[in-house]
Amino acid sequence: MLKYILRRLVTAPLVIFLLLVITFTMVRVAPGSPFSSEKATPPEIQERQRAFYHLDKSIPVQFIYYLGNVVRGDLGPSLKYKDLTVNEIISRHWLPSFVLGTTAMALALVMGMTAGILAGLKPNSRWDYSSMTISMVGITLPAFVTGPLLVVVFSLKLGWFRVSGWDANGFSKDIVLPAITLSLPYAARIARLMRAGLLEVVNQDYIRTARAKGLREHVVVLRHALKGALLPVVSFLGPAVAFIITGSLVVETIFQVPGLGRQFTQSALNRDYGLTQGLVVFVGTLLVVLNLVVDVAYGFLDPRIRYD
Amino acid sequence: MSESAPVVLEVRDLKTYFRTDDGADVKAVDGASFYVRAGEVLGIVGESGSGKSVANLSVLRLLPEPPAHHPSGEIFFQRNPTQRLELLRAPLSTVRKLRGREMAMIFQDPMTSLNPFLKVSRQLTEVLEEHEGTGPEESRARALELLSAVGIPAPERRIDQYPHQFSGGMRQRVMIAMALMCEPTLLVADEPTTALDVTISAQILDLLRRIHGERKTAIVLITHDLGVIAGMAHRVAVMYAGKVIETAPVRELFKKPLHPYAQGLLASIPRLDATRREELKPIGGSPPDLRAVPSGCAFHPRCPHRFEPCDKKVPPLLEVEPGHYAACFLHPQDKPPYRGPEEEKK
Amino acid sequence: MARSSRLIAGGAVLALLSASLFAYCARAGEKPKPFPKVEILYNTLESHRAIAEALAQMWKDELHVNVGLANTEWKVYLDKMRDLDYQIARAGWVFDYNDPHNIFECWQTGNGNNRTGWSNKKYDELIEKATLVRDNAERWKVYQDAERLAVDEAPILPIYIYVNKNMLSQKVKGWYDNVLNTHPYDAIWIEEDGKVAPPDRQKLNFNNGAEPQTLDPAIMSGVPESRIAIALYEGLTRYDPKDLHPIPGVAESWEISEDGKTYTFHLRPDARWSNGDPVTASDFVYSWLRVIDPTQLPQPAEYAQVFDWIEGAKPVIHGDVKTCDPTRIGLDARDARTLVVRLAAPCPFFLNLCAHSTYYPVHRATVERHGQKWTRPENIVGNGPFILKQWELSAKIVFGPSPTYWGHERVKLHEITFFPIDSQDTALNKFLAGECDWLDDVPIARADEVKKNPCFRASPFLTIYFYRFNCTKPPFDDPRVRRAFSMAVDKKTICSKVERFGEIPLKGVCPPCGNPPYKGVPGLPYDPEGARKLLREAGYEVP
Repeated sequence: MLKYILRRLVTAPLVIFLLLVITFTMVRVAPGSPFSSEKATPPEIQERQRAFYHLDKSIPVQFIYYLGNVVRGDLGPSLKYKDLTVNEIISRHWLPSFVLGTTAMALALVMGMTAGILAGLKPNSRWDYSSMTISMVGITLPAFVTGPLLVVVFSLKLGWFRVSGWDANGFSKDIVLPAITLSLPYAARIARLMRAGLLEVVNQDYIRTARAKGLREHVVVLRHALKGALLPVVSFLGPAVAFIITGSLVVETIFQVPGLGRQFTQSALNRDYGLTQGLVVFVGTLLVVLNLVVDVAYGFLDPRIRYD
Repeated sequence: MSESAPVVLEVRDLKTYFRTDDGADVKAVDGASFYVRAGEVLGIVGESGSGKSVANLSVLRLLPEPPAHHPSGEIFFQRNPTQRLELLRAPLSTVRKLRGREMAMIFQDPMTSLNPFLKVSRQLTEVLEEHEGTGPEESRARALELLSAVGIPAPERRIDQYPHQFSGGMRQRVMIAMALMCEPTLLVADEPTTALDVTISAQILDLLRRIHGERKTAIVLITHDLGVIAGMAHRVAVMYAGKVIETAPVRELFKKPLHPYAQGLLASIPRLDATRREELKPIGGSPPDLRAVPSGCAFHPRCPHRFEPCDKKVPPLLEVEPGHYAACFLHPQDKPPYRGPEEEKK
Repeated sequence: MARSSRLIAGGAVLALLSASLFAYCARAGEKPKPFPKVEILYNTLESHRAIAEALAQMWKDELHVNVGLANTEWKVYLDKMRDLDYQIARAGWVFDYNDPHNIFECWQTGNGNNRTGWSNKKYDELIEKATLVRDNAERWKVYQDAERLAVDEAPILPIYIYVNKNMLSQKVKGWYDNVLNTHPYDAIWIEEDGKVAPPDRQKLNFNNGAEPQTLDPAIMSGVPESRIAIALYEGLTRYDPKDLHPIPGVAESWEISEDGKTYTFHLRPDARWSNGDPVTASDFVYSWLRVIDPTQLPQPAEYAQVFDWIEGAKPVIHGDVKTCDPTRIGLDARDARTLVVRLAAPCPFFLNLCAHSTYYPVHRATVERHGQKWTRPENIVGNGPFILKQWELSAKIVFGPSPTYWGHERVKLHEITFFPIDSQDTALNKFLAGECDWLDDVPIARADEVKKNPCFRASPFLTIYFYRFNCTKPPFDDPRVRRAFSMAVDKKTICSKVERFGEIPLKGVCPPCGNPPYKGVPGLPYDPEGARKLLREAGYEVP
């Protein structure tokens, strides 16, 4: 196991390097310039802007410049936010996304697993049908529908929460509506995966064995069925956690959460090469790490899996 | 085996049907009766689909209800000299407390019947912890004792391994050890050797025989292999299409099978004294479709001796010879009907 | 005077008509050809698509022309526009200052904002000539002549003048509708129960719509940035909040030389930076040279060309002169309180430019000490009525009154909070929940709901919506075709059915603006029959 983790850790920088090469080239090959605007900037000034960001050099030369900085931990300047560096933008936006994402994921796990277990234990029961119907709704209803709906009910009608806002000092009740909005589709997916996992496991011979041993039902479920049933959920969680904690464009826009999700889209639309690349490095690293965590978790859950 | 030993389990006229999506019933067990006395080994023989496994899963109430349901039947379990329980209508919580503690079960496929996610130690000790409230150390000691009793070498090392680290035969030994954790009065072994190769299955049978010898546990041995029965069981019940069609002490049955199906089964097993291979005669035709069981005697379409009444009336199980019951119109119909062990005693 | 200009116009039309009649007869022998399929280029936005669809339908119905729609992403759209890689393209223009020159100069040959390929020598000359006229009423006449040329040759299809779609809480006072939608915060106060609210409730929450790209006035260019800049900085002049004429800012008075090329500004003695330092003439020289000289700013200033007017600045800004010699630039700090500015040409709207953010001063010592980090809340020094208190990235920016501002007594607001909410829906909800007092835009999809709200204020906005024709490629290299396409468009329908906030149809190429308000020429009529005739004259088959 240790050897496996080490090997993965050694290959991780390579993965990120490749990711960076692709992003670096793609943003530059894509049509549109970071400096074009509705009002014309004289060509001489645009030339100067390109020179300032080294964009007048050839792509390989630019890349070597950039890579040198990245290795030193400097993701360079933002082309759009002229007062800020990419390091600053990421460091000042990741926390809200992370706090919101982990809260939403915890919520999604609690809701999803509870619904999934109850549905999976009594398949085709009324409870199963209702929780699966709700989860279908959760999957199909996009955040841009549920979010405003929650705002209308809980902010405008009942006045329980602010319409939007985020307390820089950490947790506040501002997190409630965005966290619920963000968690719903994930909760729904988890519920369905959990139910499917349980249904598959419950029909396994070893569950019958556990019952034949006279174990109480909750022991059968929690000790014997859950571990196996969790495998599909765990493999879904890896990338899901990476995405959820790096921010959601829609939820962050609706509730104006100062997170990374909006930066990602905006940076691409603005052709803010520096910020796009920086975010790819950041999110890429996170994805690689979380996938590794999932693999290790898999190993703990399923003793049959060997990493050597 | 003494006929005066108390009856541990008696199944009377058990019907286990499965409701299908279109509302029809699959009659997996359709009026089966059998019993087993303390210290006795009852063999239940039949083809797959004859209802032998379903009948025994019904005894432990391990079938999901619905779709399973029981239009009729009684299952009596003698817990101790004074307490006799009817299981079919008992609360599931009562039955659960008997499972693993007084009635244990061994399943066919040791590869899938052990939980791959849990260490062997956990799967053994939890039985004691559940039923006796035994502490972890004591349970572990008992588990180690049983592992070595079922012939697992180096149990101290093996106990902390996962099932996938064991071979098939070893896993079945673990299953047996698990079943014995609480010293049950009844052990149901559902085709315990079917999934194993020949030498291993012989070893497992030896082990079961030894356990029976040492502990005098009542055993219901379910198998499709009469050969297995011959070496182990005291009495046999032959099942076909959800009914017991013949039951007798094992020697009686082998000496003189009365039902054409039992005769067919015997003819299809290789015998040591057989001279030529051609003498092995498989039973023609195929087992009945349980959604549409043939009328009258369910075996009649395959029966070489069928005659006028066979497809019209269901033959009753009658005591054709003392202690030897069969359900077939070939035999005189004026004999006393099967009435269970209490009647037998008289 | 008016009659004579109308006469000229009438004569021009008559001459054109007879000329086209002649052309028609000359071509009578030729067989008319079918009109090629054309494509409208627009960028991804619901309202742009709606207008493009309406136009396509009108052209199809009236001219029987097949029109396709090409929807492109913003940056790609900008590239295509710049490279003249389109046939007809939607466009908009937000005025930088309140003067017609701002739009008229766009259609000069080679102007970066022209983007139609249209070139007319006479037009170019008229625009040049206008900059020499000091009296606005006289200057407007020159622009009218130019506008007539632009209308006749129709390089663009003017559609409408935007409206400001403000939502303003009724407790906000001292806020006036104006065509630049600019609202100096030093004039605003909060009223409660008909009285001025106590200081602790003098709070204004405003949705600025975006995170500012920079707080450095030299390199800023957008609207959200300028809304912040008028709180933090003050130019030599500023706009009157009601009618937008330039009023004294840091300069308490000024003289303009006879030839209109030398401005002498007298700075107020009590003008102070937020750290207490006096604002001096050399601060302005430093700040303006910082924009003019490309070697001074760490990052190039996008709007540097607004300094083209200053003597000696243009060649430096555009790189014709490689090194900047400050003594050759027309800036002279005669003493701490006297700034003399020499212009390359008499710029009649120079006082308006002085109120533009690029002309704001910066604090030299702060900029030199902190480099690029000088705009951080902990470093920034400004000379405006407010100071930066707090900047939570992507969440809010908070300002408080500056105690060193010369007009501090006048300032009533105790706190201003800017939200960077880019979702108009969220912003509107925030307004409805009372969390926000002013929005400068509303979601079009909720027009009916918004228009019923008493807080909604619509007023003309100095921004125009128009379409560009690519004048370099057939079929739109023919002015008759451009005119035909323009005359087949019913702008009233677009304003009332597609937009719906009371947008005003734009007839000529310039909306009313400046002081006194510029009045444009009539523009092309809505005349489908005439349009079809023009197309036939151009040699196309029209059923």
